[in-house]
Amino acid sequence: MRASALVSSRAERHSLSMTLEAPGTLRLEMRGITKTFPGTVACEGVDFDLRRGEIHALVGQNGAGKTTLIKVLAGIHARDAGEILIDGTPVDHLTPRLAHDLGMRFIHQELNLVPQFNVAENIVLGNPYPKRPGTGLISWRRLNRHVGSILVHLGISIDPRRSVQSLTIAEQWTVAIARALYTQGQILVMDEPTSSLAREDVQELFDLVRSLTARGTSVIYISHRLEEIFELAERVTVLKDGRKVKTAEVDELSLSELVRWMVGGKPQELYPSIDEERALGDVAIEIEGLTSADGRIADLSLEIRDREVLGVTGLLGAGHNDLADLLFGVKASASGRIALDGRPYRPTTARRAIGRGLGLVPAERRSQGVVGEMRLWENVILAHLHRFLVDPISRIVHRRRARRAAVEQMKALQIVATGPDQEVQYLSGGNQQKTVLAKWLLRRPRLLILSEPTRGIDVSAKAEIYALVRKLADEGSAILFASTEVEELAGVCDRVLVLRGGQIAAELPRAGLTAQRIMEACYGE
Amino acid sequence: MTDRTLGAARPPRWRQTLTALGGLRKYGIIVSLVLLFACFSLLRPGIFPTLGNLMSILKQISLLGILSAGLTICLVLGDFDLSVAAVATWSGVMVAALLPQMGMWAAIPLVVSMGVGIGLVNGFFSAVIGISPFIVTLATQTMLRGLTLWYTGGYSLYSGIPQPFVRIGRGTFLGIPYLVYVMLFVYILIFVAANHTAFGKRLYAVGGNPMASRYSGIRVIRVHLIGFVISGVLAALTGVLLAARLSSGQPRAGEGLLLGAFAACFLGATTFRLGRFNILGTFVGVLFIGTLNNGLVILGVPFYLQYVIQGSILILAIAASGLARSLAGRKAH
Amino acid sequence: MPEGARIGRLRGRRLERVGLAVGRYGTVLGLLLLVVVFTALKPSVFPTVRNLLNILNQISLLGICAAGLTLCLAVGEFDLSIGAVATLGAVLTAGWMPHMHPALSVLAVLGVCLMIGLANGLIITTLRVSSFMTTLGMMTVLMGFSYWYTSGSGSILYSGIPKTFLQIGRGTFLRIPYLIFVMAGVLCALHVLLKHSSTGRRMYAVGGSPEAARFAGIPVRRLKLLGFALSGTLAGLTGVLLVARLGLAEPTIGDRFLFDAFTVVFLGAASIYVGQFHILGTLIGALIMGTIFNGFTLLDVPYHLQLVVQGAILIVAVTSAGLWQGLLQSVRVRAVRQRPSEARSNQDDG
Repeated sequence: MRASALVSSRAERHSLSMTLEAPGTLRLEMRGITKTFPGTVACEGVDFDLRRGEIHALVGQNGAGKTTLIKVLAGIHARDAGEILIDGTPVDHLTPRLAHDLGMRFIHQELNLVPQFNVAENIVLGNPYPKRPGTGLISWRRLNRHVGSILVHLGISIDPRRSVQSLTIAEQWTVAIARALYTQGQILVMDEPTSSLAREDVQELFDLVRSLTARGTSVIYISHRLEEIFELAERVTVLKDGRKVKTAEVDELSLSELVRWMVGGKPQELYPSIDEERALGDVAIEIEGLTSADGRIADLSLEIRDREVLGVTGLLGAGHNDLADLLFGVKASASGRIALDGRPYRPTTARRAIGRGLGLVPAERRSQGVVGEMRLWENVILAHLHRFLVDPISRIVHRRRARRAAVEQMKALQIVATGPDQEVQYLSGGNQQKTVLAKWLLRRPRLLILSEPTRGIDVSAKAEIYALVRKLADEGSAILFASTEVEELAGVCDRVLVLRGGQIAAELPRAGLTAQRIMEACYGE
Repeated sequence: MTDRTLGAARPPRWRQTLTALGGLRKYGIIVSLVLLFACFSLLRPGIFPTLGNLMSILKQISLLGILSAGLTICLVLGDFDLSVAAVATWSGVMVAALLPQMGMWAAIPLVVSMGVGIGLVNGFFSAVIGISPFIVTLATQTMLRGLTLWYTGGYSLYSGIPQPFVRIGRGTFLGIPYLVYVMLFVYILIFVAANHTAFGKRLYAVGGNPMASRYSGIRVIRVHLIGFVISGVLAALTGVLLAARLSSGQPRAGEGLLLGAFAACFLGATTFRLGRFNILGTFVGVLFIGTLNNGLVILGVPFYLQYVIQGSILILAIAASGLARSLAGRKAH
Repeated sequence: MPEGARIGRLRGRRLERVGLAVGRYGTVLGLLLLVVVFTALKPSVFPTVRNLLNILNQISLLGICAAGLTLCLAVGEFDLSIGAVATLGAVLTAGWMPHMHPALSVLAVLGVCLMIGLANGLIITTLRVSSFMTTLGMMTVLMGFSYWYTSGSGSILYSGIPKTFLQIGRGTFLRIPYLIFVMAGVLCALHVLLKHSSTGRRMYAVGGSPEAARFAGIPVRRLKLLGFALSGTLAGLTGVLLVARLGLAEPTIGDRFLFDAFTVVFLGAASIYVGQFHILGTLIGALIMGTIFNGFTLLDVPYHLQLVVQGAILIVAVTSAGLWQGLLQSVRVRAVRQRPSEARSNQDDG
């Protein structure tokens, strides 16, 4: 049975003409899709269509409904109203199985790989295994061979027998792609594919997508990175608050127009203006010869001054996020000397880091940043519990003082919530991130470390966070900004260090700092 | 997901009603408890709803209650402590063995500190080394059962138990048994600790998201260790009081307690803070089990039928909470 | 990346292999150690074929029960009712067999236990509730039922069991007890199911990542039901065979299987395919338990000490497996891997 899949993929090589119908006919039509959850309407009357062989981007802020729309299409959520038509035929009662049989392939944000399985079994997941003739038992040899040839065909050089747990995130993503392409599909949906990929992998992904569409596959591409939309997509649909705002040809749209459709108002200046001549303070932290226990950072030396926003970046695995974890004591260091305000500092635990005035906004918000089940005020005081005690003996928390502090932070950071008692899991991504920030702003941090702070956050929240970072710097804090989004580094930082292989490859000053230059430095040109 | 409800498309009326009902299920167990009480009162009006009987219920559940309180703390952290009953049994035997030699004021603290030790062992292997607590406590309870059997040879220890000790288990003050006072004291203490102290915040933080807790400077391993120690201490205390109640150390004393403690904690997790273990809920769960047992005994229901009814009610409670959850729908992420 | 990193990578791989071997085969080594020790202490009795068959016979019922539990755990669910189901199976067999054809009564009992397993599964999968709690409740109900059923006859049922049936429990074929054949059959069948059939692999997928399985179109609910059905039915079979072996049934007869089966399956998860529940590991776990019991009995060591040793071995086995796994993780991170694209370029960086 699945020999046909293999035949098809070999046939792909010969560019078999599968487009029997005329190009440009609608592959997929979603009309008036409405989906509600208790308390919120996620999608309301959304129309979306997809032509054969096109790359159609879907953009919108957090909570706009993109992921819900996709999950409705995937059969994971049942729609409340609306129609879905595939090649003109309406589809009812969509389930993941049916969606798969209809030719739709999905790569969700969470990847959804089975950690106990190896690469081969993950790729084949949900599809029939090749069997030994006559017995109905799995033929492992044929499986590995099948999968191996698919991987080679896709240009992925990972051994199919490797356990997925031993792969890097980027490698896991390629396995997820291979799984989506294992059997012939007509529609490929990718939700935030590049958030964990480095620049060069992104280009490879783009090449792959283009080759797929050349053969007639249609692609729905969701991303927060608007520049990718302009590079890759033909059409873009903007969702806002669960409704479709606009569908347009990418060629006819400019970036600021796109942002305006997403945000709904005058085009915002994303980045605050920075005075290049402003004076920096004294050296806040001095690092010499820092080496991490696992070797990802080797003999790194740098310093950060007060009132300075220092950016750190690099290709994936270059070590910029490791630096954040190292300084905060969450990752073990093997050697090196660090001086904080002239006094030695050994980052052995997070507690010690906090005691010395450091704060860290971690890269993974949901798994590392907030405790979703706890209330907003509880999350805000979590790192400084000892400062909100009624008395040191009973160690009872002074609830009123804590809530008051939380309310202050909500005002200062414009956190949108029903109140300090709301459970953080019900906040949007941007507001959750602001809660994490609030945690460290209870007391002016000596050094604030931000690791991928705007990942997965909508445009307006991003702007607010950038403004906040600059304000903190102006008020005297030292800030370490680790990120792979070169645009925001160029927009927010005073200086950018580019790491490669755990060492500093380049240092770019404010003068002439552009995203382009940073990217070039990452590649070492 | 947008934070606010959009005005245009409100969910249909029937759905709204169900959502509201779903919100009420927070108090489902309390309602059931009240109903249960009413049922039994109607069936045995002269016997059941008397002050004496109510005292009897409280006394009967006091030991289960103390055990369940400690278990709740572990369950908040996601640690299944299967050894609580075995610790209680062992502690009862130990205190009965040591009392004749040392007297109350030395024996009881010694036995309770054994509970601390066992908790530390459980915590060490699960939190420090990283083995699933289910397995670790399965192993420790097996070992404790063996040790208990070895020490007692299968016999009860009842010689040399001093009168004052027995009085703890049997005596009353202002008409209320000492045991009930101890239970209430324990619950108030644990409730305050879990909900109002800094430790309680750390407890729920680690239970909710250990990574985020670590990034907030919380010593996750230490919190787990403390959780196991609390569970061990309260289990040991239960064992001591059990020996006082029975005036002897019995090697099979704690057997029914494991089931009951988990049942009470799980029932409690369907109350107040849905899906999460909490002290108040556990207390209601313990009350529920005690009331049910008491009523069935008064009705003269043979003990095996009691099991059937208890088990069925547990399943019904679970089913009801699951059903309510599905009807009310789940909040999307 | 300088030379140092490359050396680190190579060394990492070798250490990784050693660590893998020890971590994976630790329990097997432990088993061999036990055999060696007991052989040394009782050289004339222990290492004989007869004694080996003794051990296998002793663990046959535990093996069957644990095999069913293995599948339930593979699918990611707990079944705490297996002890009570075994008891019920025994009690019903002893109660029904005197009144009907033995084969019929066995089928009826297995049918009942299958229903119980399905009931567990339906409640848990339809209402999406905790399996721990549901099976706990079911266990209580079944316990009560067993007590009620035997209460009329003073708690022990033993009359009217046909000799032919008892032969199954005590008879041999080519000197090998029938029960060992039954266990072997069950273990083989389940091993093939779990390891070499797509149903089994999908059960692992469900246990490993229910979301991934669901989004891939795998029928999660059906497979979980299968897991519960198997653990219930095999627990019931255990009860049936208990009557065959002992010739009687009483309402606590199956209780020890709960903790013992879990111990055995967990020991198995610390063996060979560390971190996964699998039949081969369960067999090793059962062999360890059986060897201890056998050896200790020969040495006249009382039962309670066995319990202590059992618990200790569980902790040691899982700890060492876990420690080695942890060590492997740290070694892996140290040996920084080259990504395919980097390997293609000529740049000399990590």
